[in-house]
Amino acid sequence: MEGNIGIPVAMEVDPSGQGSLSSCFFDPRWDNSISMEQIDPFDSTRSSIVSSPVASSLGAGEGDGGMIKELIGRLGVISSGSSGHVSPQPFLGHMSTNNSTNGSSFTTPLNSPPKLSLSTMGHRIRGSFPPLSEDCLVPFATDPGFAERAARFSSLGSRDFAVGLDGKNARVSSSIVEGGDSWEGSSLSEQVHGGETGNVKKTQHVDVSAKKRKLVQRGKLDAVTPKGSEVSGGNNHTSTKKIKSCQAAEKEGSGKEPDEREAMAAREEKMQKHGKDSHSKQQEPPKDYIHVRARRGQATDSHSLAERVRREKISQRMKALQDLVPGCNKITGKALMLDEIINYVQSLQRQVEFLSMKLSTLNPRMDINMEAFLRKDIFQSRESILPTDSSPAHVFPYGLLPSHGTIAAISPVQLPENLLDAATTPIHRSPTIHFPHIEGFSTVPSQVLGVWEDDLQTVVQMGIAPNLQPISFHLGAGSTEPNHGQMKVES
Amino acid sequence: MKTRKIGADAQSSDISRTEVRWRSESSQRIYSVKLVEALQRAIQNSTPALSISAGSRAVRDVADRVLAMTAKGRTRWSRAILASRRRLSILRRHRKVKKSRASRINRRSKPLSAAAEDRTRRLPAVEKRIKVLSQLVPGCKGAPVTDLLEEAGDYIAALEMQIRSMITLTEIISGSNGERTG
Repeated sequence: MEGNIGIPVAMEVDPSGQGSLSSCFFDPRWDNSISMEQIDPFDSTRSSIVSSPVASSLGAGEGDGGMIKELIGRLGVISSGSSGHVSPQPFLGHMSTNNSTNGSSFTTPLNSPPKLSLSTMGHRIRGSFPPLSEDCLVPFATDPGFAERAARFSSLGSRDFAVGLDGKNARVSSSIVEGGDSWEGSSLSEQVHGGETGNVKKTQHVDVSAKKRKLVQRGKLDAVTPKGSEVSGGNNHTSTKKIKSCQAAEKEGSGKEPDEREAMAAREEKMQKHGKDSHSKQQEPPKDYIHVRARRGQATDSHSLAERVRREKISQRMKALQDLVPGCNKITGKALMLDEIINYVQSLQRQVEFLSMKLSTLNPRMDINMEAFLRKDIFQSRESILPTDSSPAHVFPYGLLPSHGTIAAISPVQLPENLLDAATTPIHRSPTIHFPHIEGFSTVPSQVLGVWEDDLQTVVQMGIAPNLQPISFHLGAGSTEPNHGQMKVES
Repeated sequence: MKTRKIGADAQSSDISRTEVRWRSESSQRIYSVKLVEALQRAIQNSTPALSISAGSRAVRDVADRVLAMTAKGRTRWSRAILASRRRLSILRRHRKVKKSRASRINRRSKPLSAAAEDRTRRLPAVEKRIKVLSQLVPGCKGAPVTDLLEEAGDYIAALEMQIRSMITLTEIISGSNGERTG
C-alpha cells in the first residue's frame, strides 16, 4: 500500500515494562534538546521542513502557539517510563528502508513485541520524513516542531484541545494519513501521555483536523489485537474501537468537533488511529467498553456512531458466515452473501428432512441388537465397509444440497469429497463420520439404494427451488425390497 | 462517543465456540447416541405412523429436538425448537402472526442519519433476504440482524452436525439391515 503513506504507529505498549514506548518517542530529555542522538540526524531535516509551513500559519496563531508550546513542554515531562530507549543506530539504519516498506510494515509491528514495534515504527515515522517535504515531518516528540504545528492547528481550527486524555495513561496514537499532508496529523496524533495528563489535555488534541488532517484523537488507545486486525483489514472504512474508559473525554471531544469533522468530510479518506495505552492497564483495569472513534469525515452524533458499530458487527458476522457457508469466498456484497446463506440453510434443512424420512423407513428395523450395534459403531473409528464400485454419480442426498449444483459445495458435510474419493480412502475421513456411506449403501440391498439414488438424480435434475418441489421416491415397504409404489413427499 | 460493552474478543470467541460445539467428534457422538435413544423411544411410544410423511416428520422433530438439547439452550433457535411442540404448533402460528405484526411496527423506531441510510436495512434487497433468513432459522423471526446472523451461523453448524450423524445412523442401520437380511 504505497498509496497511503499512512504510518500506523499502533504500538502495543505492555504496561509492565514497555511503558517506555512513549519514552522512545518522547523522552524527557528531548525537552532540553539534549542528547537524543537519534533525533539529531532528523532534526536538521525536520526543522528545515518545519520552518516553511509553520511560518505561514504561525503568524495567526502566535498567541496560542505560546500556550501550546508550553503545553507541549509539559508533555515532555509526562513521559512515563524509562525503559526502552531506541538506539540511534537502528534509527539510522532504518531510515533508508523506511520509504519502501512504509506501507507494508505497519501492520506487522502491531503484533510484534512492543519494543521492537516501537522502534521500527519510530523508524518508519522518522524515515518517512524526508520524502514528505511539503509538510513538516516533525515527529511528535520534537517539541518545537510540535509546538509549531500545534500553533498552526490552533490557528486553523480554533479548537479546543480538550483531548480526552486520561491523566494516567501514556498513549501513543498514530494515524495513518495519506499523502504528504498526513504527516502533521500523524505526528500530532502521536501523543504520548505520561502520567499527569491533565495538562496534556489541551495540546495534543490537535487533530484539529485543521485542513490537513483529520486525526481524531481520542483518549486512550487500547490493546493491539483488536486494532491490529482492524488496521490490517479494514484500513479505510472502519472506525477504530478502543477499549478504554475514556468515555467522557471523548464524548466531549467529539461534541466539540463535529463541525470540524464535517469540514474534513471531503478530505483525505483514510485515517486510522491506533494507539496503545501503555499505562492504562497498570493504573486502570481496562473496562469492557468499546470506544468507537469517529471515522474521518463521518458525523459524530451518537446515532451514527451506534449505527457504525452495528454495521461493523454485522459485517463481522457476515464474514464469519462466509467461512461457514461453502463457496462464498468470492462473493462480495451482503445481498448475494445472504442469498448463499439462505440457499445453504434451505439445503441443509432439506437434507435433514430427507434423512429423517430415510430413518423413519429404516427405523422399524431397529431392535435391541441394533442398539448395541449402533453404539458400538458410533464409537468405533473405522467402518469395515469396503469401497465397492459405487460410482460418484450416485450422488446421494448431497446432490440435493447445493442449489448451485456443485458438489464441492458440500464440503462441510464432507460427503462430496468422499463421493469423489470413493475408491480411494473414504475411511480416512473423520472417524465418527462413516463416510463411505456410499459403500455402505451399496452393500445394502442395492435395489433400494439404486432406486433412491435414481430418484435423487431426478430430484437433482428437477432443480432445486426454494420451495421444495414434490419429490417422488420409491420407498420400500421394507428396506429389503424396493417398493413399487410411489410416494410424493413434500415438505 | 458511544461505548458499547463488548468483550474484547467477542467475535472470535463466538466463532470458536461454534466450531468447538458443532464440529467436534465428541459432540457428534453425544448427539448420535441421544438421537438413537430418542428415536427408539419415539418408535416405542408412538403408534406406527400411517403415512411416511408423518413418520419422517416425527423423526425430524425428534432429531431437531435432540439437536436443540445438545445446544444447551444458549441459542435462540435451540430454545425455539425446544419450546415448540407439534401440539402447540397451532398456538405458535397464532403467536407468530401477532409477533410478526408487532415486530413490523416496532422496527423503525430509531432515526437514521442520512449518511447511514444507504447502508441501512432499508435496502430492500438485503431486507428481503434478512426476512427470509429469519423465517428459516427457528426462533429468529423478529430478531435484530446481528443476532440473526449469529444464530444463523450456529444453526448452520448444528445442522451440519445433525446431518453427519444422521447419515452415520442410516448407514449403520441399513448396514445392519443388510447384514441381517443379506
